Amino acid sequence: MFIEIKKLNKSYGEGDNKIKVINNVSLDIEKGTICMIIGASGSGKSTFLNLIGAMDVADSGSIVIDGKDITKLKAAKLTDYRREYLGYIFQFYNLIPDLTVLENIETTQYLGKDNMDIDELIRLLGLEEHKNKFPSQLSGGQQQRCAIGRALVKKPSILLCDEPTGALDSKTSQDILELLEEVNEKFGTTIIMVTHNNDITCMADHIVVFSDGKIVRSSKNKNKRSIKGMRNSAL
Amino acid sequence: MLYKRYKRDIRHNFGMYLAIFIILAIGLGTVFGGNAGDDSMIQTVEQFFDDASLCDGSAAVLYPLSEDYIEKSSDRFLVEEAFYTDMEASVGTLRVFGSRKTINTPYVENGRLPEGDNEIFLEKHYAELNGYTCGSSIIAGEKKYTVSGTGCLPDYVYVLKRINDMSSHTASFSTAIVSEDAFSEIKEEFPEKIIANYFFILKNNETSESVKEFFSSAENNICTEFINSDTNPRITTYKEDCYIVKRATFIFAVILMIVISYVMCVFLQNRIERERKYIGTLSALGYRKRELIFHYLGLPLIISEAGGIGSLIAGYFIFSKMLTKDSTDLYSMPDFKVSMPLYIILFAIIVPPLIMLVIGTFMLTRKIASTPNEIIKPKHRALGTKLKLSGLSYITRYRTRQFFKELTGNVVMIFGVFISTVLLILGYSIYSSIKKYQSDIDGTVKYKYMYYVTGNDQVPEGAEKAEIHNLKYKGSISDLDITLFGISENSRFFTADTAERGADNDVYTVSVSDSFAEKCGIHENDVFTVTDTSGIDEYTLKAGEIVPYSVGLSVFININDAALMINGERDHYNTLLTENEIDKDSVNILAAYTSEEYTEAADSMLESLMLIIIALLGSAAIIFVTVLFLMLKFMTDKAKNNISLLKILGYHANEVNKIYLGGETYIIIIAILLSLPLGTLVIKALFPYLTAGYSVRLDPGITLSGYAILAVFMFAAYAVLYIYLRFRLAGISFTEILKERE
Repeated sequence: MFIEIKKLNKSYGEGDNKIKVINNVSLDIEKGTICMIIGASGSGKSTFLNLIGAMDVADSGSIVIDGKDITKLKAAKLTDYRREYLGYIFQFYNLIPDLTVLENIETTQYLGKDNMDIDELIRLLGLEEHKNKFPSQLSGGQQQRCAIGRALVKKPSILLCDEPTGALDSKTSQDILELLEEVNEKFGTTIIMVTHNNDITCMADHIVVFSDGKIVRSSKNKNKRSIKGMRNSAL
Repeated sequence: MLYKRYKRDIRHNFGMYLAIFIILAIGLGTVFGGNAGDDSMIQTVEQFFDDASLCDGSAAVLYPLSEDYIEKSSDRFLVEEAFYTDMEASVGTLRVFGSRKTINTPYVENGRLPEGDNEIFLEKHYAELNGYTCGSSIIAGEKKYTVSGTGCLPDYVYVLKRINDMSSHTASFSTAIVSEDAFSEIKEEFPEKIIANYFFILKNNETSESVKEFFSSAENNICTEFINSDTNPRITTYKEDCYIVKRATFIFAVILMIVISYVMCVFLQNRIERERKYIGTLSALGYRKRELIFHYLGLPLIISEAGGIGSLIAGYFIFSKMLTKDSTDLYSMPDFKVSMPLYIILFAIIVPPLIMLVIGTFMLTRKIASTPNEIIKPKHRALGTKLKLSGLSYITRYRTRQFFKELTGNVVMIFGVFISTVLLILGYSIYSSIKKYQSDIDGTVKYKYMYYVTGNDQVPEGAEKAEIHNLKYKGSISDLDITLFGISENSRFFTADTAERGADNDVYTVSVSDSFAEKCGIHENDVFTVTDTSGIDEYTLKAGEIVPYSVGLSVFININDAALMINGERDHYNTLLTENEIDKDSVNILAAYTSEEYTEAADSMLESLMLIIIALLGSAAIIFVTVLFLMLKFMTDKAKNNISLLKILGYHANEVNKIYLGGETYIIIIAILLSLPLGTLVIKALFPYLTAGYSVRLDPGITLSGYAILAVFMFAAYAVLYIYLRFRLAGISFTEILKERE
């Protein structure tokens, strides 16, 4: 199994204010699949994503990625893990405002050993005529495309997406989801996506439902279909 | 309600506000304290002069004037005897006066004036430095005296042995008063050693010229020295020093306030950048631009005002006495209480917040000038965005964009480096220039002893006769003391060409010392005017050759030409120069000096300036470290989100440091390397102005090793900051960016 998570626990706060955000969660994710994590606000899904992304430290449990238990790694090794395995897409893009589109993508190209051709990637993202523009000069969709480019250029094994369409209109959201689907098909990238929108789960191979820090349902999606078919539905 | 944020803001940024408060309080405190101390000192000394009936001048003649002669002019000027003699004492030399009547009466700090013929009143510094108190015994002129009291004389505030000495050295030369009976005994025992000196006060609009005429035309007499009090360095130097320090320190204070104001404004700009959503919202809700600007400026104005008030407190209680200690140790004057003059209080209260208000309003108006929507979502700044950076490596491009993004902060930082470099170089230059002067003296002065003599025909073996006089030259800022050396044509002590030439249309050709030529811009064949110490008699001189001679400012002429020029007759001398001590019984010695006194005077000068040197170096270090610390901290705090993002993306700590600290390191290194030569040029231009009042040539020469020391200090200080900033960057969590929501 590519990703194996066993009995993961995470709490915040102390004493009477202690809240258990992740409660004894176990999950396996296969390589090259799209795993969608859904749940209400505060259910723990973003925290779960942060733990897989080694941006937070679990209280107990294990997260084994490609045979390595990342909960046992020290800070420098965790950085190496993020560098080699992960691409991250945020809800609000988090592009560096003083770098151009091309330079934002280069921030991760600099880290990768076997990168994609950056010009080809920019063409794929539909950003060729915008590559020398700054984020403030782009629309939300264009910024998110740039963020996807930044995440993909180093060919990560895992793409973590935290509400990637949360700040976008329906048409743009559709475009972004289609792009992610294409990335998964073309490059075999394992995508773990957090969303509160149930309507897009059709594109997932694996659907996980979070509630109050626990997984209440985890199942293979037998009705998987392409997001392209959702073009006119309410996204 | 907005102002409730001030309390939270202070708590959150306590370190920064405290640093700014401390810099203002200490930086301005040294200026205000020093100035208040100087003003109080001037006030005290002026009062001392009033109480002591300071003379309008003094004159020394070859033979005592008769009482009848003095009485003849009593309706025109008040003339009193003030005879003195220099006597070897238990320690050094004492210039001993008899008791004074009404003019230049002493200030008694401890004890009383002498009454018995074995009592002596000592100048206070000499007494303190040599451990004499009331009741102590001291030998002077081979007689034992008991110290009746200590204090100071108004005509010897600066206790110079000779009028044109560079500095005093009160541990080994000072003044004393004995009773009239005791002085009569001295006069009987050593009549040839008594200087017939008189004080005068002008009456009824009489002038110095008329009183000089009075002394010069006394029958069968010669006026050997005439000096007005307003040009007497023993009386005026303390005040000139104070004014130079006041001018320089006020310039420093303004620069400091501008630097601090810019630092605070960069902080404010960053703050507004972070809070633009709230500002835009408040603007949309109806807050006026003026109200928003004052809200953001409110706390910096409070801090500036607090800093100004803090500087008054620090200045009054800590720095006033501390910084005037050098002056009170150097000058002989009554003790004084410091009071803060009104102009300093007003300056401290008004100017710091005013500068902050002007700079802050200018910088913030531009930021808050737009519509609410433009405030919330500003257009991207054009600066740096049009740069064509292709061809550069990714890291270089990132750093370049970072540089332009933080252009204001970088400019403030470079300016701070430059200012602190100038202050470091200035402090070092003062020190090195005096040290250089001392080493120049060592090679220059070939005689060991100089004796002022009178009325001798027999020149002792090994001695060389000379006619030496003190003159004045009008410098760019104040009168300078010049020494006229009238020497033999084949003098073994001087290399100047001093063939007897006589005057050509009343113009005498002289050789000019290189120190005088360089300080006053005199070249060969230049014609210039000097006067006697009274400023009355003028002499026109023409510069012949320029000769190497570093002690003070000097001109050289044939001994007979000198005697003719000053006294109107040839074949006269007033000084003996020797390599060995002469038998004091063989000649009538009026005063004796050694070449070592030149070095001692330079030592004294360096000692008196040491606090200023330390203050300059200390201020420079504080400005350097603080400006760099605050600017780099602002820039890295501002970049927190981006740094957090890079960590999420997989950048190691040293890669993040390379981008955010590496670029700044290059800027600082370049700023330091450029500031050193530029700062040197600035100091080379300013130094003559700062030292214009000193009658010596002081070169602000910095050696390579000096530069190395300065550079090492600055790089070392930055290295410490760099290590601290690395820790700060390491502490930025990668969840920082996850907290940000548009």
